[in-house]
Amino acid sequence: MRECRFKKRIQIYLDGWMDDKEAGRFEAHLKRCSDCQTEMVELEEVASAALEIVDQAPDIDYWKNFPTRVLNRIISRDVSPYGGKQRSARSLRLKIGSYSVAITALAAAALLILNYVNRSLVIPDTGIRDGVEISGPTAATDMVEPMIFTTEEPEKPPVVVESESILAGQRNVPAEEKPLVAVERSSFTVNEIEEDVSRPSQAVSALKSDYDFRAVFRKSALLEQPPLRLDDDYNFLNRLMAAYRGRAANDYRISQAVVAEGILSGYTSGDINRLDNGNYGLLDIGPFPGLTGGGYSSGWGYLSLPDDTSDAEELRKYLIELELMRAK
Amino acid sequence: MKKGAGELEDQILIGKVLEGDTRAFERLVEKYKKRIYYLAYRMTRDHDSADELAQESFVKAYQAMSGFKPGHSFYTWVYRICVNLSINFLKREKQNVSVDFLRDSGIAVDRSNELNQLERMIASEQAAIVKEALNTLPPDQKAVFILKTYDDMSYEQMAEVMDCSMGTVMSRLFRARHKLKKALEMAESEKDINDERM
Repeated sequence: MRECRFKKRIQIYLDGWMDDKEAGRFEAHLKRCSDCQTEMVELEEVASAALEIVDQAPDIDYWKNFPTRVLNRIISRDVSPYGGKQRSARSLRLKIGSYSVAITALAAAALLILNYVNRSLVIPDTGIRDGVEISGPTAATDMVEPMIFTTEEPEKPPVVVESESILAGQRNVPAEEKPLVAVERSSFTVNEIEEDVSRPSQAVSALKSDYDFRAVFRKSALLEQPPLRLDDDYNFLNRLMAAYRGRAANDYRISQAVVAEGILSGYTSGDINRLDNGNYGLLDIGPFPGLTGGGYSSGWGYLSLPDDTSDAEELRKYLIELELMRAK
Repeated sequence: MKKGAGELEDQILIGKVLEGDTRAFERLVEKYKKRIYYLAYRMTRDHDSADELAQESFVKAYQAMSGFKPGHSFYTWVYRICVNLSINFLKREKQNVSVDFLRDSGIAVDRSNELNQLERMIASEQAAIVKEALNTLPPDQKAVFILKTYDDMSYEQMAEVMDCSMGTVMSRLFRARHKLKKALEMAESEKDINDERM
């Protein structure tokens, strides 16, 4: 007997994640579906059984001493809230003193340079800068912006990449055979990537570091190489999706794009199903005539391609649309 | 974990900790010690391990305090540290393939049976089964189940604590619940068979 399609939604209902409209529909279904009723009762049984587990409470003295023991541990390890070892007050004062000297020297040098540069721009005592009257202070030294010290590396200049070059490397869909729609309009910018991303874990790490997934895909040649072996790279695509989805603040369109990239790069929907969940239906894969192994849709509703995305060509168009949206 | 007076108080305390006020940190520990301990305890089911993990969570939080982002929840942050430490601990334990692990996973049948009987005397039958099954779950799934069941966290909160997407949270939760459900079903059918034999 085929399993009820609502069964996978029960968790969402139980956790209060369904909106009122969907919850109403689900409740109406629940009244007449014994399969879902049983599932619901069983899941509730699991929760109540878990809540019945008796936790052995420690002694009262344990709680009283707990904060002290934590602090003792901190003291014995000599750590500070700034990551490193705690410094003695004297060494900290010396350190601060030397920083002060260095910053004062730097600031004096900066002021001298700015004064020199601004001499041509500021007409002393007139309040006129580059010929435009200003209402604030007039002396060049008062115009200095506060200096900001940062350890962050300066932002790398973006590299303009044509989407054709990204999609051209796909194994199953060579660009010359299927010309891209709207390719002229679909240039977009990605941050250049320098890290080695040849291994899946490195690619995931790079994705988490704010790189555009297409740059990572391009660099890792995921689209150009044969698909990764499922045994070695279990959950790879899921990890990519998760990494990207998390980074993009649940922008599911991007996850969809990653999935679509995966499909276009040679994963079958069956592969994705296995990659993604191992043994249960996170993704419902239905018939999908344009691809080997079926199509892709969502069992949970948080990952879905549009209904009209019915073959590889549609997926390609969809990707381009995404690029256009992102480029705007 | 809605933002409120409690979180505002935490932000003030954090500011004081960064100024070198250890009393302020003591107050933070006092405030969250039980929740963090019980999270570690539910992950490990062992007092000594839970004590060690809970203390370590706070020490690590203290050490990384300067990196704490203002406006975020301190509670979620310490939870995340504790979950990560607990998951790593369980993974290490699993690698060691201790007698406890074998017992919990049902491989050491003889001792397991003895313990089951003892447990069933103490707790309800179903609770004992779920308790045992929880120990066989992968640490990630176990953590999500505990956060949902005992702390009633939303998917969003769990995603923040586990540093993963909501989809991953949902899938882990789904798997965890279904494995526990299976464990209950199996126990039920075993019981039926035994009843028939008698």
